[in-house]
Amino acid sequence: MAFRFGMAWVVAKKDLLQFRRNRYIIFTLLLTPLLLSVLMPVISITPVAPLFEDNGDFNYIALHRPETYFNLNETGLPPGEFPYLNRYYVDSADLNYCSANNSVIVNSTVKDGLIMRSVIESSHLSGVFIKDSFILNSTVEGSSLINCTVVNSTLSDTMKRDSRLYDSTEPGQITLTDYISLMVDSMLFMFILIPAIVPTIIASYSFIGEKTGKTLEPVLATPVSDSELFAGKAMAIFIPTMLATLVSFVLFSLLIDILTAPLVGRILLPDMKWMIAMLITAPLFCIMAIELNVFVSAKVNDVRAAQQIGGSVVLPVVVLFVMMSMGMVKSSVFMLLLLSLAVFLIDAAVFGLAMKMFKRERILVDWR
Amino acid sequence: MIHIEGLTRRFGSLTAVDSVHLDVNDGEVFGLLGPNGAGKTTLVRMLACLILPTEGTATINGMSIEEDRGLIREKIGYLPEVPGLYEDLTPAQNLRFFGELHGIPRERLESRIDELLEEFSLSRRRNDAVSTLSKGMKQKLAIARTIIHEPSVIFLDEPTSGLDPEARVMVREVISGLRDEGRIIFLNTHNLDEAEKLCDRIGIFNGRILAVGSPDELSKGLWGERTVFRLLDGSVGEDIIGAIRGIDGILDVSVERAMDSTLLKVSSARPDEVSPQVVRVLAEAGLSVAEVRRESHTLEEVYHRIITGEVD
Repeated sequence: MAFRFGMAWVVAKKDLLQFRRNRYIIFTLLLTPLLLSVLMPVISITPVAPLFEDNGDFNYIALHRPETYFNLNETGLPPGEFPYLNRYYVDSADLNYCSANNSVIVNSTVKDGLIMRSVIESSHLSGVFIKDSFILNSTVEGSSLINCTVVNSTLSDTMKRDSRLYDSTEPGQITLTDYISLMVDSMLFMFILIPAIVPTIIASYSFIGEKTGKTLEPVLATPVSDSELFAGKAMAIFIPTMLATLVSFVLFSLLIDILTAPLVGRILLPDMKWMIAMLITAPLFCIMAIELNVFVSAKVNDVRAAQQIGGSVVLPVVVLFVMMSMGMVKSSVFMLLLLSLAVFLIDAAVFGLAMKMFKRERILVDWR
Repeated sequence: MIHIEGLTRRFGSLTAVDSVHLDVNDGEVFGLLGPNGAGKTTLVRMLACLILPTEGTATINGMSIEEDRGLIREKIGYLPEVPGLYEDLTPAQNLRFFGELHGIPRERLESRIDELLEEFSLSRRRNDAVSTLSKGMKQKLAIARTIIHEPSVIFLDEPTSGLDPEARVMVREVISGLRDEGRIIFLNTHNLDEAEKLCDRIGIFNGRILAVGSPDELSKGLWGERTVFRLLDGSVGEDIIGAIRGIDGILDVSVERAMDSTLLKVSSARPDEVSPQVVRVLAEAGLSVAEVRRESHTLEEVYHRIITGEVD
C-alpha cells in the first residue's frame, strides 16, 4: 500500500494534541533546552569576560617619556663592550649586549640585554630583561618582562610578572577570541544532546503510553498502515523536539552574540559549523533516538525504564562532548559532516529493524 | 457475511485457535461464548486483520483477511476487550481521531460526532477528559468510536466485562440498538446471560467451535425439552428411574428434592409422547403426581456441560 502522508499527519496531530494536554511533558520538553540556551552563555562567557577586559586606558604620555633623545644614527653607539643607551632614539639597529634606559627602540633587533623605562615598537627581542616598558607590534622570545604593557605582540618562552597583554598571543595562553570560540564550540554538542534526549522523554510517553493504555489496538484495526502509524508518531516527536532545539539555538546565538560581540568585535553565531550541526546532525540524532525508543518500548512497560534505557542514545554524544572539552577532538565542518554521515548510516540501518518491530502483529503479540 | 474456513492460529507450541469453520450471516448477532483464555480474542483479531492466521482462511463480505487487509479494515469496526480510549483527550477528540483515520470528510465527521455523542447521551461531557467519565460512559464512547465510520461488520470483544450491572444494561441496550440497524455483530463474551439476551446464534468455543446454534436450538438440541413432574410423597427409587430411562425417547432423567416434594426432571425430544408413559410408570409405583410442567434447559447448563466435555 502506498504511503499516505495525510494518514501519518492524522496520527501526529493526535499525539501533539495529547502532548498539549499533558502540559508537564511540554514543560520539561521546552524548558530544559531553553534554560540551557540562556544559562550556558551566561555561565560560560560572563564570568570570564572581565578577565580579558581592559584594566583602564593606557596612554603614551603616561610613559616615562624623556624630553630629549640622542639619535643613535647620529651619535653612534656609546663606547664599551656593553653599550649603555640612555635617552636614545634607536631606529633599524642591531643591538647585542646592550642596556637601554628611557629610550625608544623601533624596527630593531635586540639580542641579550637589559631594557628599562623604554618604548619598543616593531622590533624583535630575544634574551632580554625588560622592565617598566611598553612593547608594541613586536615579537619577544626567551625574555623576561616585569611591569610591562604589551600590545599586539607575540610572546614565546617568556616569563612575565605584573605585565599586561593586549591583543597579544603567547603559547599556552589563548586570546579572548580563541577562548570564546572554544566555549561556544563546546556548547555545540550540548545542542546535539537536546535532540538526542528530548525524544527519549516524549517517545517513552508516546509509545509506552499507548502500550500501557492499550490504546494502539483499536488504532491498528483502522485503515492506517504500519508505516503511516510509525511515521505519524515519529513526526509528533520530531517536530516539537526540533522546534525546541532550533528555538533554543536562536536564543543561544542571540545571547552569545550580545555577550561576545563587544569583546571579539564580530558576530560569532551562526556559522557554517553550527548550521550543519543544527540542520543536519541534530535532526539525524533525533531520528536515531526515536528509532531506538521503538525498540525499548517493545521490551519494557514502564516509562521510567524506557527513559533510562532510551537515554543511552546520548552516550556517544556525551563521549564526544567530553573529548571536546578535553581538547582531544576539535569540532569542524568536516568532523560534523563525518559525524552526520555516521549517524545517517545508523539511522538507515536501524530504520529497517524499527519498522520490523513496529508491525501490527508484533505489537499485539510480542510487545509485552 | 463472514465465512471462516479452517482458521488456525498457533503461538509457538500453543494452538490458540484450532481449525474453526463458521459462517455468520448479514444482519446477525453472533456470540462466541467461551471461558477466559479460550482463544476468542485471537479469533477476532484474525478476523479484524490484526494478526495473520497460521492456517486456514476467512472472508468478510467476500474480502480475504490475508489479501484485502486494508480494505477489510475500512469496512469493519473493532472494539477490543480493553476499550483503549485516549484518557487525556475529550470524547469528541477521540471520535475525531478515529473518524479521520477512517477518512471521513471533515464536515461529515463533525456532524457524525455530534450525532453519536447525542445518541449515546455523551453530549454534555463532550469536552471533558475521558478520564473523568464513568466506566459505562467510557464503554459507550468506545462503541461510538467503533461505529463512527458506519461499518457493516462489528467485532465486540467482551464489551460488558468489568462493568457494573447498571452500566452493563446501558451497554447492552446500545448493542441491541446496533443489531436493529442490520449489521453483522460478532460478539465475544463469557457472559451467558448476555449471549442469550443479545445473540441470534451462539458458538460455544474453547479453542475450537464446540456447538453452534440459537440459544433455543442449543438447549433443545442437546437434551430436547425438559418436563418436570412434582411428586408429593415418597422417594423415587432407582428401580423407578431405571424404568423411566427405559422408555423410548428419553434423553436424561434427574431427581431433585424440594421443600415438600420431589422433582423428577425428564428430558426428551418428544415430550408429548413420553410424558403420559412417565405418568403411568409413576402411578403404577404408587406415587401421586401433583404437577406436570414444561421447562427449558438454561444456556448455562448447556454451556457448562459442553465446556466441561460432558457432551460432545
